[in-house]
Amino acid sequence: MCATRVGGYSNCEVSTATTRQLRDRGPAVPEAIARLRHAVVDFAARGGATARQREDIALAVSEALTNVVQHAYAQAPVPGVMAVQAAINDGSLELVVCDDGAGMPPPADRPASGLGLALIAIIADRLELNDTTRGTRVRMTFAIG
Amino acid sequence: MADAVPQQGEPSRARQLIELGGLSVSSERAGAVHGICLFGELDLATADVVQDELTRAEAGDASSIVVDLSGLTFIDSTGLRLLVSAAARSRADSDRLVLLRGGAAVQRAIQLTALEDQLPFAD
Repeated sequence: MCATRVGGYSNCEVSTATTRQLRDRGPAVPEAIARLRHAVVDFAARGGATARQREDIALAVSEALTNVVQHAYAQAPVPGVMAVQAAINDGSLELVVCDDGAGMPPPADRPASGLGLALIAIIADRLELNDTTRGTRVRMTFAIG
Repeated sequence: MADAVPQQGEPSRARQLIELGGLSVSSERAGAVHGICLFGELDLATADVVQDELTRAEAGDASSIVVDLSGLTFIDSTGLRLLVSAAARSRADSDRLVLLRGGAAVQRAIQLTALEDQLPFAD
């Protein structure tokens, strides 16, 4: 699954030249969103993120995880895994939210996701969306400190 | 099989406290006002309980439904969408919904989504 692939392609890698890293994962269910959000915010706080930056990061990671819960495993018999990975380098926090699901449905089939993705785009200094039928990876970068 | 619960009329003052995950909801009818106070985090996992309380309040005859966001420490687009929908229903009905502002994180989310104009804040 996405957070445990070793050696080959990982859907979830962040930059490796780093001193601090976070890796966490949970089932793609609504109840798991808060715990992963808290893990990312605590990590950002330890890295020196200000209160405003922590608020923004909490919002962005929550939107990305909500998209996973609502869409990634919509066709699967049971929800799969969602993972967060974060690293801090040179005053910026790189955050990846990923899953092994079937990818995002077309925009017309997920009207509720528009606001979430738009929010991430506003908050993050950089946003990269890699959406395939074998999983989705949202990579965000935030200035902190 | 449990006996049927006798139906009772809506009391003039009835308070309910509901806790779900990271959210607590206090819902109270006091005279003509139905107050719903939210404490904690409003996201996908906790939105249903808020929606249920809004639905319950809207079904009643309170002249005003006040939702106090000041105890919320987090809200995301799921929570904001819920409030915007409630505001739209209120405008189409009799404008009963009033929102009391949240703290910094809540106001920040509203600012980022540019939803301020769609939400009926008291001030």
